[in-house]
Amino acid sequence: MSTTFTRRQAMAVIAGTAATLSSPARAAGFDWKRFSGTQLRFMVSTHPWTEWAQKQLPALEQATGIKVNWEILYEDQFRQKLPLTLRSDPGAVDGFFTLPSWDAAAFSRAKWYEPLDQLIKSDLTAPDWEFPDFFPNILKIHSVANEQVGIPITIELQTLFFNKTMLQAKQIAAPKTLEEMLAAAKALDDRKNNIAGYVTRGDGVQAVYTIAPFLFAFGGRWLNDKGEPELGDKPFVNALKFYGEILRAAGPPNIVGMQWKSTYPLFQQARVAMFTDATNFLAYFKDPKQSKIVDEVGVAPLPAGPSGSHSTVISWGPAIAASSKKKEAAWYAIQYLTSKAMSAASTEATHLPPSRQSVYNSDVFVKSVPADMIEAIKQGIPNAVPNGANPLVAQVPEVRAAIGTAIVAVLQGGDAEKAANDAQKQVLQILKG
Amino acid sequence: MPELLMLPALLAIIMVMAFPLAYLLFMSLHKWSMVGYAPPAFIGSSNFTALAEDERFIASLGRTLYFTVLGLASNIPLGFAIALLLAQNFPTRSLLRALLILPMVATPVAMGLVWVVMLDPSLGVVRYLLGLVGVENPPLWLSDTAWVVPTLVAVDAWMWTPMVALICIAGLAALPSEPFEAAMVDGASAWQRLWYITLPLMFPTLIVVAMLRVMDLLKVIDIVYVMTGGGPGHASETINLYNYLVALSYDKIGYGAAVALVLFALVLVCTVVLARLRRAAQ
Repeated sequence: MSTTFTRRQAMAVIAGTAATLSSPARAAGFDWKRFSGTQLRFMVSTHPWTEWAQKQLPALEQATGIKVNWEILYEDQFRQKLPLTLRSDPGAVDGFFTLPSWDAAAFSRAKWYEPLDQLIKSDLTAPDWEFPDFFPNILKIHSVANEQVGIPITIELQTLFFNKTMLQAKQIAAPKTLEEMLAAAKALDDRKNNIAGYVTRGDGVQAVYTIAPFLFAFGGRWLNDKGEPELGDKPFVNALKFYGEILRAAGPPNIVGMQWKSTYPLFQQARVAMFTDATNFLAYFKDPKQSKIVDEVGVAPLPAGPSGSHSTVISWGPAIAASSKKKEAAWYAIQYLTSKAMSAASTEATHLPPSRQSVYNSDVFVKSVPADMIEAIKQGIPNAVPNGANPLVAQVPEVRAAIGTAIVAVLQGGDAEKAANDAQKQVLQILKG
Repeated sequence: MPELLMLPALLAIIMVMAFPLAYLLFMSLHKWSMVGYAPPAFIGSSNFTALAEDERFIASLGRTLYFTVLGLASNIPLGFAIALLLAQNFPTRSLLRALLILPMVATPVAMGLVWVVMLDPSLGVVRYLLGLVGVENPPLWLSDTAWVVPTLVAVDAWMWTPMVALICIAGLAALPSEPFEAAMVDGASAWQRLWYITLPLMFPTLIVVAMLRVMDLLKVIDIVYVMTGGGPGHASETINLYNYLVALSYDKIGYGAAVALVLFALVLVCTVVLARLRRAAQ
């Protein structure tokens, strides 16, 4: 029942906004056909949003006359081909998909992003596109040195998932602090029955993302204002200690080296009571075809440490290549795909939290996601660290590997202080080049 | 000028072999980034001197050799034994030979993922099966730094021992029958025939198989990438995986080229040694 209702509601919203979009009044105010006949090439990675957007290209062409060649690549391949193309064939790519927590430092140093502020303020932007509608803290994700370089499309926050049945059975409430979380994880851990209390990533490189909220909860940050790492400091040592303690005490036995593709199935198959990772994982838990816990999954904000609860927030989004010769047309295409109506439509199709406040508060989103998830995200957004997934440096993969070594060391029972100091030394060396 | 007839083949070899190698050497002498527009900077042999101090590189080199030795030590005897068995005449022989090819034709990446699931201590079937035969608390195959390489070797062996067996079956079929008949007339036991006739006659074949396997084992990356990503930590990082990460993920093209050259030299030396052995055997 609720699905039908959601769909109908959503369709009404979409139809309503789409009608405004194509109405003569609007067309008179803003000339969508200004770059009619232009051909563009966008290079993007596989993502629910890019796959959805590909299906909107015929409509885009009809509305603007712009033909977009939408090249979708797997993320690994994308990360290799995009730099290669931008470097060796300037002008070949007009727009691309970017994840600033990974790309921003390197791409802005390479001057690959076209600054968007001028375009947004100019008459090339439709009056009803409404830039202020985006969550301010989410816009920051795609901002480098106070200049907008991309348009965030979704909100990828980290949150706490818990198995309601398991927690109720032991009369445990969703933990609100790290101490409560540790105690709950230990109490819920049931080795005999092959059930773990808590799981998150144990693979070094990947775990940099999941340890970040603990670092922030202990009052730390990845880099100081000069861009130097602060890994040898107390907060990171404390985060490592906590991560090691909770996962060694209540994590699955093979936690060391566990990638997300191995962690979420444990929660999905009711083999673990609590799980922290990106909000996106909800889709896997709510899918009756693969999940055993469709009705048992609870969502709560991340437990707070001495410095509060700070999630990480990242967002993919389209950007314009500085080397493009058709920047204005590329901006038209991006604008079209990120308009209010389209944002509502993509949210309806992907169920991913939208970056636009109007859509976030609309029925489209509210009805497609459980209330506790809405609440957790709402609480999380203001305090989340934009691009906190890892240090914002040009050498993200290498730095993640160095920090990951420290995480693996504590998961294996090593000394947190030594691991932290080793990581600090290594990262310093990597940043020196 | 009959030598001119060689020209097309020579040109093809230069294009597909010599040029990439020369280009690799050229890259290895430069500091080279794909991000931005800075041209490659010539730095002489700095990349190679840096390799000598790169702990991760040295560890991955040692690990790759360990992987290769374990791989050879398991593949060759096992494959040869299977070949001896399947060279016998018995009813289901053809069916078994056909089944033998299955692990080999499956994609390594897909098989790697299947093994990850099977080896999972919570959801996997391996722990369950071992439990049935009384093995409680088996090792954490992919999470234990001591077990991860042998486990990967086992999965690799599962995939590639059949190839060893198939080549050995072909080799066995091509052996002359006279020495065996003579030995039987002289009253040699089955064990004696195997040790004194089959093995020496099969030696060249075994060397060829070893050569093929060494080349693959030294360059292993697919199952490692899929099953552990080189982890836990760097405990299963092979030189080829490190090479991939350095060049394409860490954006150090020149340094990656240097790693690739070392790997190339390693494979070349091992192959040449084995080829010499084979010639000596003949």
